[in-house]
Amino acid sequence: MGFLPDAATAMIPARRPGGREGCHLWVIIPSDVRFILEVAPNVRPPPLSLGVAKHTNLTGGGPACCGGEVWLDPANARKLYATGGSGRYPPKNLAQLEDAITVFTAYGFEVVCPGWDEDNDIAERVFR
Amino acid sequence: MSEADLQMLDAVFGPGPGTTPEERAAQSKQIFVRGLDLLTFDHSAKARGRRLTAQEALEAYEFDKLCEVVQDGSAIITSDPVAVGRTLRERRNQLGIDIRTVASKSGLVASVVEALEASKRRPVREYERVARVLGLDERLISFNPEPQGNEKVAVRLRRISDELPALSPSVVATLAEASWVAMTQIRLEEKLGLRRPKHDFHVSNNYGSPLGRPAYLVGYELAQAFRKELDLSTGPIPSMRELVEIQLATPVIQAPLGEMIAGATVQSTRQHRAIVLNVHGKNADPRVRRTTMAHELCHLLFDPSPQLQDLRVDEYDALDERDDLRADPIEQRANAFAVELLAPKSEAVARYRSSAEGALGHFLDEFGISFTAGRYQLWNSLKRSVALESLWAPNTAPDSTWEERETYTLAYHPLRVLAEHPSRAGRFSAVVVRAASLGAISWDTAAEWLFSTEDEVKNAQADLQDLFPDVFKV
Repeated sequence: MGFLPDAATAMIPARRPGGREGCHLWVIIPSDVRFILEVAPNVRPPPLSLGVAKHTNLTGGGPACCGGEVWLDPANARKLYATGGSGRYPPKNLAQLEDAITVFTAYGFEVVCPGWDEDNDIAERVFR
Repeated sequence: MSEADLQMLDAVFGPGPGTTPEERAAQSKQIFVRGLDLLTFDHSAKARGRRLTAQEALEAYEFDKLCEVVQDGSAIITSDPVAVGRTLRERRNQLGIDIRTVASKSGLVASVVEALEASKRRPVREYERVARVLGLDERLISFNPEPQGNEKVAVRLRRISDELPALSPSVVATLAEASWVAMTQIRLEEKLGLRRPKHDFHVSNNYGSPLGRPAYLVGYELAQAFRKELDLSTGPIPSMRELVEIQLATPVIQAPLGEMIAGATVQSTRQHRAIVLNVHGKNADPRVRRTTMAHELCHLLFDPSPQLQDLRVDEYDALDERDDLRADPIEQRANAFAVELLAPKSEAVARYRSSAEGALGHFLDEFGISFTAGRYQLWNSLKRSVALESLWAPNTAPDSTWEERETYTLAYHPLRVLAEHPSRAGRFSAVVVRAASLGAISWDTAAEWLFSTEDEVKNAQADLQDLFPDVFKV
């Protein structure tokens, strides 16, 4: 687990955002932004998964503003690809997602976000 | 089954009986929303994607994806973000039709179709509409990177259209969509347990031989054997549509195919076959349409796959040729089968001898057979003992009951909008509504396929039950 922006340099970059490779989960809680590598062998949250982190691993099951997925651009350590894809802490609407992205940009990152999925009325998770 | 597994079944489908995903899905009231990229539960009235029942979602995307919806709030169903547009473009190119034709058939503007082919973010319903026009399984266009649907038919359509000028891009697109209607009907009928053919016919390589028995004699024999197998008397067949659709459990899709194409027989990748009938041109006369249907029935029942080649398209002119003069034994056999099925020779002779004046006219109307086919049949039945020219009938309108029995819901459908979409106005519409009422598909899916609102489709249920009672017995 890490905290933006200090630990961003330790993030595993992804060749293509949207896949499992290099996918980190993020949540915004009132005090900071936390993130964790999604496929983490030492994390075993019962009963659904094995070796796959969940957003609750970042919050201990407590409240959070919202969460999602984030990938680091391999060519630019200040560029992130972020979605609002979270089962537990999804952004409730486009405005909340945009607010979350503003938090990332406030830390000095350039952020690419796929936006809002009108088909499902949730944050989009696929980059086109 | 572990406690965790049962918990997951509950989480996906809601509490209920059964220990397998299929058992749970069959009882589940859970509704999913399918977007271009994501599958979710139906949590928001604002979501514009396609609503799917648990059965539909499970069948299309399998249990693991449904578990992802529980675990992550949504499941990504796009295998590759650019695959969806590529699939549409490749299929369109396979069919040899232009973007304008696809746009016109799907009710979209050309620039939208271009955006879809470029895999741009657009509503999933637009992607689905284009997929159906191209004969693709719209559930899988983004999920599976390879084109789903009947690729062989698309390739064959392209090849035939190079040889047959009558197959314009518009007709090719109509045939591709008719193929989608047929295969969707078959899939749903299987799911509902409606496809139980009572008879087992086998394909036959016997097309006669150039120096021995001609193919038309084989066609006569096949028709006689067919009547015997179905326990039909030698009298008129009241409704070819009913015979083929109900007794033989074979879809008959009626669609506008221009002025020159009579009909086609199409085969799915799973070897299921269906008949596509033109509602325009000479088929506007139900007696001609019955003759076309009988001709296609021979292809459907008896042509082995190498002869059928996934798709066989027949022109009106070819169906009008004399059996014994047709060079192609496949068509010669089918023509002979058609006339003998509709109007057995023994009956033709009897009718001729008992009716001195207007014998041919009475014969055509009584048996519901086209002028050309009936005339040759009568002439051959009389062993050509009279001059062909002496067998003549005035061009009169057919008995209206033929129209009522063969056109059926195409002439008047409880969902009036289907008058503009004849390929959906037949038994397909009843099967779709029944599938929705049983939860096999959602009302949203049914409404989309029938160009109506959910309420309109639900309100049509009682009328469709009266019109297609066997569909609603399951």
